[in-house]
Amino acid sequence: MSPTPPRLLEALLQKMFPADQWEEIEGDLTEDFDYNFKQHGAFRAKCFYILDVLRLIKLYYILKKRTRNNNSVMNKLFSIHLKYGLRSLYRQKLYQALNVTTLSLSFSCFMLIFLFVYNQYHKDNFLADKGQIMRLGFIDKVGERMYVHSGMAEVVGEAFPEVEAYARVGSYTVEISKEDGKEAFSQGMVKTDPGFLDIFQLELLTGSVPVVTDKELLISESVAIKLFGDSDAIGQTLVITSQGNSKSLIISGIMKDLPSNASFVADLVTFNNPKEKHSLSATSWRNSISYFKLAPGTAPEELAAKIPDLMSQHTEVETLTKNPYLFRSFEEIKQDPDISDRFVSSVDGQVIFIFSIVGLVILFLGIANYVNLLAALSLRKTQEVSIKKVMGASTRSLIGQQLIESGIVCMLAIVLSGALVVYLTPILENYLDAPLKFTNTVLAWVALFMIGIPMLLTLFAAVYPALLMSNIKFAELLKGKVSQSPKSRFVRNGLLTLQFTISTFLIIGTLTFVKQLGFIKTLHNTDEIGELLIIKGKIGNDHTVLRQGLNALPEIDQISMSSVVPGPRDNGGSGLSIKEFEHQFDLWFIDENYLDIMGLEMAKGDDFYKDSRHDKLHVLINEALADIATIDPVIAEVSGFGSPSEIIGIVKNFSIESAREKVEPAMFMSVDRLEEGTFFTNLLNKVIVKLNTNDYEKAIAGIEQVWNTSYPDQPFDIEFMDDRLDRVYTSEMRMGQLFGTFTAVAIVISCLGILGLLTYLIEVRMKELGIRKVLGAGFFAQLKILTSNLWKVMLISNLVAFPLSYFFLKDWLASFAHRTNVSPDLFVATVFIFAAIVTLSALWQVVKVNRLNPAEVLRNE
Amino acid sequence: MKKTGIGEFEELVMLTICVQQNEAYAFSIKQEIEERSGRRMNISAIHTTLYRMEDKGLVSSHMGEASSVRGGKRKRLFTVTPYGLKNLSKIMDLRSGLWNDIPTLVLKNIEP
Repeated sequence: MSPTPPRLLEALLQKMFPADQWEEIEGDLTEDFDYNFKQHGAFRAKCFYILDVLRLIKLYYILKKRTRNNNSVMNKLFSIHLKYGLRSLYRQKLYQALNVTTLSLSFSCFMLIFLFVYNQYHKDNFLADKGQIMRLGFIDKVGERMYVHSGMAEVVGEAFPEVEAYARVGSYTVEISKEDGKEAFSQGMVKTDPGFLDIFQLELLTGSVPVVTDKELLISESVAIKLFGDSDAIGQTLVITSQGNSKSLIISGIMKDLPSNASFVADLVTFNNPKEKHSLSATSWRNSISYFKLAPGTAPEELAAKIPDLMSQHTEVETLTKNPYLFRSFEEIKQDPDISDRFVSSVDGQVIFIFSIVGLVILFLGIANYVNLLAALSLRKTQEVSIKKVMGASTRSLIGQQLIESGIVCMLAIVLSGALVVYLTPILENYLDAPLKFTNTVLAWVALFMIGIPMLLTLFAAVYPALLMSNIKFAELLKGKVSQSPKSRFVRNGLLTLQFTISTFLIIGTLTFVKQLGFIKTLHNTDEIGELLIIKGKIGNDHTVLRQGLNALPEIDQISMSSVVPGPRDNGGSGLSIKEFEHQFDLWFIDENYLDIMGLEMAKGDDFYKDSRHDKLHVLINEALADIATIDPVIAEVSGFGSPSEIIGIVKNFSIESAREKVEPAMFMSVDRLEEGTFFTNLLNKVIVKLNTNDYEKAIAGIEQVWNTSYPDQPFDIEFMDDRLDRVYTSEMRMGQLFGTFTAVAIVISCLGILGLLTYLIEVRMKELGIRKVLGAGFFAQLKILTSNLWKVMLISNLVAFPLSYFFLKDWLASFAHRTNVSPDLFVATVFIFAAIVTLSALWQVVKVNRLNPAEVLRNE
Repeated sequence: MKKTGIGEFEELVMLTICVQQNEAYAFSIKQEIEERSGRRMNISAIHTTLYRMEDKGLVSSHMGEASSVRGGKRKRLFTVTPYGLKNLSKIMDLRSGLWNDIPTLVLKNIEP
């Protein structure tokens, strides 16, 4: 008996092909099998048979295409689908408007965030070897320091062959003007070493690097054009004014402008005098941010580890030899504001990460909404679909119809969101103060990517409702049973839960963000001290006229003169060191009213005396400095700065800049000390005024008059304490506002989703509601019936979102030096806010139903 | 020309159908080609090619009579359509034209 071909495969063949083809193919295969059996034996014949069946899969598709093409007119319906799609847009205006709105909202948010993140990602990409750019810092008792002794850059740079270039970088904001010019511009200036041009790849267009460093400088092309127009700027003189001191410099060269995506500014470049040596001693300590370019392949940790040894060859200062050093790469500095310096501006990498997540989440929310509503809507079309199916439409054709419809909606949404993005980009640019523009080719790719991804996702998402609809059995469809099918309900509720979870999470996040921001600002005790006015100007060492003039004004409660007011750091005086502390600290000048007026407290000892005990050699220090002192600080004599000083008290720590950062060690000297005039000039530049009236206009007018008589040659420049503090927190506030906006968008999207779903649910249950109403169900009974599911979904989503957000926010808050806690009231508030939003959108629909005459719903049928 | 282009294998199958006249079905075509070329053929490849050519309109088919030889299964018999013949002759014209224009010098190198 000859063997037979494998039974299983025979059965498979029968399944694969229509009867006619099967008969013939099966016959041929059997014949072939017999032939092969005679030629090669049973085993090989079977192998050939199996291979043949496998190869016939290709034929299966060819034949399938053929049957489809010949089978039914119902399958050639592209134009009809298009027409249908447009018609359904028109018919279901409310739903489709909801769809288009949510989609375009989420698309545009996604695109904007994408632009922003992409831009951040591509910052400084003109620097060919940014991996080699390092900044040297060290770690001491206070923590990581972003700078080193000003003499170190040269010593380290010359000692190690791995260092290709080094530069100390000081950045200042200065006023520049032409020699004869009246106009002055505020411009960022960099004071550095020649290695700077190499490290940061600045290109000289014309001219040369200054030879006489204290008389010459480089300017950028744009500054040259701004000041000199088309005429040759080289050899011209520029007057630079910084903290009241002016000096004239000759332009020796013009640099190419930095691209707009640079995270540092170098419009004016001046150089340190190479002859001026900085010996590595404690008394000559000056902080200097020092950048290095390391040779490729250098391990920065290893190099940093060698530095203490090098230092001990040059100096005996313990701060220099004992502390560990570390290199921070340019990339790290850019992404972490905690370790950034004044030269490289940084955007928190964490913030960017959060933003990208929010962008994706919003995109997801929009799409989830869309799928949800679409699935609900498609079940409305059950009868149409079942008739089409009976007429011979294939699954593919039905999916095609759904896809064409959702393609139309998607295109509309994309066009709308494109317009929105084009409109919003300049606003966002302005707001973030960062350009979001690219070259045209990059933009084209970005645009393609941004449009392609949402488009694809949406189409992909639309497949689900299409499948749901096209794979249901006709009979059930015609009976209209599917709208309550448990599977579709499960998916819908699942999506809704996810949306609610995300929204809850975002609301809690925003509330915590706002709370933290508020908390940080209270650290400056602005609430207790009330409104303060700050007058800024070059007060000089003789200020009796001003003091008397101001004290004579009836609107003024108290005044204090000082060199420091919390807010942006706009005065020198940092990075000093004396042998008792062996550590650099900030030096500020304040008077005896300062602590009172600022609402600050003493931790120990006494404030400056207001009576006869007052001595100009008395000084105060803050707790941060007391902690690192090597001597018992109170009532101790400390040397340095001319005459020896006596510390009479320790001030409780208070933040001068952002409270996000640690408090720097600081020493406070009496303003009377300035009369010596030898060490510090032009440091006293602020008067703090406490008013006892709310009539600011009158008070300010009075103050202006006093100022103008005291300093007729200086402009009158004032600001309120609140505004000043706000300037420190602009970036945080901006991020908070942006975050809030995106949260609002996410919530709006979720609400629109709820609205759409509810409308649909109500429509499905219209008859039921009508009957209930006839039987006497009241408004609240109806509300309860319709929204009970929503509450369940909300409960579940809260259960998921609360622990998640708790841990996430705790982690996030840990990045602040001073932080508020994640408190339960925020969670309660979130529940209320969310419940209110849900109730409102539900109410809107329920009220609509309630107004309806039940007879109208029940009449037909 | 690309759409109606005929591949070498298709040409071979069509010619075989012509040779077998009215008696051509997948297995017989396979046998014929194997015999003539000495290469092993896959029955599935022949099937695929036949159906594809049918879609292109190069061949037509009808079901033959049932016979006991192959488990009582009927054969599908193929014939080349006039359109297929026209295409075949076009190919032949092209080839013979080329053959005729080959200089005799080159042909000398071929072993008879």
